[in-house]
This record gives sequence, C-alpha cells and structure tokens, in this order.
Amino acid sequence: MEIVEFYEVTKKYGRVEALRNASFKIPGKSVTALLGPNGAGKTTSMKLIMGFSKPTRGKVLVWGVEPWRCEDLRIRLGYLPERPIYPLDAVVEDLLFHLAKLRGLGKSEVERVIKLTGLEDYRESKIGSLSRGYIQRLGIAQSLLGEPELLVLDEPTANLDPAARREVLELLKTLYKELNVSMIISSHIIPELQEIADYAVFIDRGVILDYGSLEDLWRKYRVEPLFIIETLDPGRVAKQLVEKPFVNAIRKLPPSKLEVLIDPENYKTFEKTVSELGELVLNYEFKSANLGDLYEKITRGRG
Amino acid sequence: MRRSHVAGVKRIYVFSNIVISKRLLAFLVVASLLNLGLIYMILLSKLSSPGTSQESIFFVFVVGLYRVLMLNYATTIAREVKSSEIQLYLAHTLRRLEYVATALIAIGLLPLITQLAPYLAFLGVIEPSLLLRGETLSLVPLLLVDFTICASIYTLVASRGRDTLLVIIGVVMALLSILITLLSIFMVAYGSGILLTIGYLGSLITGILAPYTYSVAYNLYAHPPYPYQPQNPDFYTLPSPTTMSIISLTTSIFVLVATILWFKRRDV
Repeated sequence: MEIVEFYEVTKKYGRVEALRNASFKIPGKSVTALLGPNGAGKTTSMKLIMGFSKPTRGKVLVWGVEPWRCEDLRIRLGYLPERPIYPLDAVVEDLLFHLAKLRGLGKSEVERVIKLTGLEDYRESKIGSLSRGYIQRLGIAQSLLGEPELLVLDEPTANLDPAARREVLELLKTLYKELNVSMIISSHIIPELQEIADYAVFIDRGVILDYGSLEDLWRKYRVEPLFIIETLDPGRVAKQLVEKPFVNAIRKLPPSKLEVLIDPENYKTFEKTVSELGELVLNYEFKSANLGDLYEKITRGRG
Repeated sequence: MRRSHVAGVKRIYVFSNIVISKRLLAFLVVASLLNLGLIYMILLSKLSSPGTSQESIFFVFVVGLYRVLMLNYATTIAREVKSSEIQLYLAHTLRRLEYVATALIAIGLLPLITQLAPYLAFLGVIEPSLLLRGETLSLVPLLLVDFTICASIYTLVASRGRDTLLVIIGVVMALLSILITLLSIFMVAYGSGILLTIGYLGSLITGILAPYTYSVAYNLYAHPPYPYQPQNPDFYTLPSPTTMSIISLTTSIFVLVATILWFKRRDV
C-alpha cells in the first residue's frame, strides 16, 4: 500500500514554480531516497508531505488523507527539518522533553530517543554548543519521539563533514534495522543514500524525472547491479560464475570476497545460481549499482 | 471529541510554557521595572492630591507600558515563524489554531496578569476605598478592550513572521496611538478648519486602536471643570467611548478571526 501519493502537484511561491505537475507514489515499509540537486523541489515536497504547505494545484495524500487539511496525521510522522531550527540556548534534554510533552509523552520516551541516537553524553549540553553532527543527531532524536510510522528526513547529511555524514548515515541504517520504520530521506548528494534506500524519486527543477524501486530502476535504465559474495574459495566460485552469460565482471576483494557485476535483467537468475553453489557461499548481499550512474542515465534519457 | 479538545488545551498549556520560558527573565525584569515605576507614580500622586479623578489618567500610562511589554513575546513568536522554528512544534502535533491561541496567551494574557494585577493589588492596599467603590474596577472592561485590540494586531503581525514591522507597529501602538488620540481629540474640541477635520478623522481611527485613551480624553473634554467647554459643537458628534469600544472590540474579533483563517492556510 502507498503511504505517500502526489497527483499532478504544482507548488508556486509567488512566481517561482517549486514543483510542476509532480506525480509519484511511495510504498510503505521502504526507505525512499528523494534525490535531486539543490533547488530541485525536495524540501517543498517534504513540506507538502508534512502539511506545512498547501499545494497550489493537484493533490498530496499521506495514508489517503491530505496532510494540510488533517493535522492529526502528524502524530504518525517524524520530521527532520533541512536547517537546524532549534532554540540554541535550550538544553538538549529539555527541548526533547518539551516536544515529548506536546505529543503527550513522558521522560521515558526522551530516554529512549537519547539512547537510540547516542546523545547520552550531551543530554545536559546547550544546543548551541553542539557540533553539527550532534545537532543532526538531536534532530533525528526529536523526529523519533512517539515512535512515528514514517520519518521524513530533509537532507540529514547537509553541511556535515565526511566523518559526521558517515556517522549520520550509519545511525539511519541502524535505526531502520532496529525500528523497521519507513523513511523518506532527501539528499542532493546523489550516491550517498544507496546503501540504505530501496526506493527512489528523482527530481530536478520541480519536475519528477522518474521513481520506483531501485531494483526496477536498475533494470529499466540498464545500470548493472552489484553483488558482494563472501566465500571460502573465491577462486572456485569465480570460475563457476564467469561462465554464466549474465555475469559481466568479477573482481576479487581481499581476503575472501568477490564483487560481481551482473546483467540487470537476470537479477533473480543470478540469485538462484548463487544459492545453487551451496556451502561454497557463506553470504551474499545485493549492493546495488551506483545511484549517481542511475541519476545520470535518467537525466540523459530525458535530455 | 471531548478528548481531542482536552488534548488541545493541554498542548496549548505545554507550548505556552515553551514560549514563555524563552525570554522569561527579560520579561520579568522589564515587567518589574515598569511596575515599580507605576507604583512610584501612584505614591507621588496620592501624596500630593489624593482623590479618584486621576485613576483613569494613570491607566493611560499603564496601557502604554502594557503595550511595550506585549512586544516581548510578540517578537519571539514573529522570530519563531520567520526562522521556521514553528515547523518543529507543528511536527510534534501542535495544531495551527493552538499555535495562534498560544501566541495570544503569551502576547496578551501574560503581560495583562503581570502588569495589571500588581497595579490593582497595590491600589487596593494603599486606597482600598477606590476598589471597594468599584470606580477603578469599572475601568477594567474598557482596559480589556484596549488590550484586546493591541494583542490581536500584534498576533496578526507576529504570525506573519514580520519582526521588524512588529517593532514599528509596537512603537505606534504603545506611544503614537496614545499621543495622537489625545492630540486628535484636542483638535476636535478646540481646532478649526483643516485641523478640525484631521482631528475628527484621527479621533475615529485612533479611537479604535486606543479605545481606553480615547475614552479618557473624550471624558476630559466632554465634562471639563466649569467654566471650560469645548468650543466646537462638532465635538459632541464624536462617537461615545462605549460606541468606540464596541467598534474596537468588533475590529479585534475580526482581526483575530482573519488571523486564524489565514494562518490555517499559510505555508510555514
């Protein structure tokens, strides 16, 4: 079932058209990457999902209702704003406690999100004294209050140094695994969400370029998927796989892993082949191809 | 349904705490200084000429100071809207109507309590007969109308996130509207030609924005001590303070309803 639906949505700010006839759907239980360059319309889409803005034309539905009309809907949503908008002189724990109280929750909920986001050592710090990485953790912590069913995270890694960006992405991955919550994450750094996302919406200058599950998009745009195989005998496995017509390239990753590029249309056949290798294969994971390549192909296809 | 109303009231209470705690110290310092100043003025007036006639005039100062004090949280709200901090609270289930209600509490009700209550209490201590006879309390409805129009205008501007405009409007409301009201009514009473027309128009407009001052000035000229009289018969065609208060209150309600309706649909 779709949790978010956009039907020919146009959003204007004065004369500027931030979104133009945007139509797309986002399924439940997915991590969706909303990808596009700066000024593409990602934040506008996020605000429409949250009900902070009203579409100029068209319809936005979240769980089948219009979010700007139905304010009760927000109890099911968690939101991380693009810019840190927190009162800087407030203490981390106090802000979280106030926000929890707005949702009718108590201290135990604050403890839970502090623990989940690793803010234990900073609970009594003033927000203004936190590094950007930790402000973003605070943002994620507040978005988790009340165990929302859908997290709407607007550029969670924006303006962070590479180390902090890595940390935030790892945190999101952990949260997804632990909480099994649906997420919509926007980013202008196209490849960075490929480890976590399984669905994507590509947007540029207010226009939706394409959307769908990454698996479908790899196939549609013929971007080669990538498998990482962990094996006891890399040489033997490589020998068996190289004969297959749908395997395009194999690379050995020390000490005992293989990186295999395959034809996108034979994804299922490849999985079957790997399972037939039996005990030779310890583990394998679909690592997906590069989102950047996919974005390039999508934009080139439209150009 | 009732449960959702209770939850709404609770959210307003919680969010009022958040807003009020933001600049509480600054607010309390300014409110205390203003109260001390007022008490000093009352003491001076009581020592020199005890009586009741000056009470209404003193409240003109109270109104002006109250209007300055209201700016404290009005600018807080305006900055919250301007910086999009409001998104944070709306994301945590606060409704837009509840946001406006909280803004009204922080902008209007809190200064009303901290400013008017100590003043009345002090008056009750030093001259209880005034309060017991109800003369001072009879001014309260008029003061409330005055506070309401100011709070509604501040809330309208604050909810648009216009903090600089708010300060300008604050100065106009706190100082100029009172001075202009006094001046306009004086011109209607004693002016001629174009001055009379300007004074008349000024009285009608500022009477809505500063109904209490209008009432004080009107009564001052309408019932002057013998043998003084307004030289213009036009003076008596000005709306009575009661009529002006009703117009002012209606305007406040209109401004508040417009603010709520507009705020419910605006992008934040």
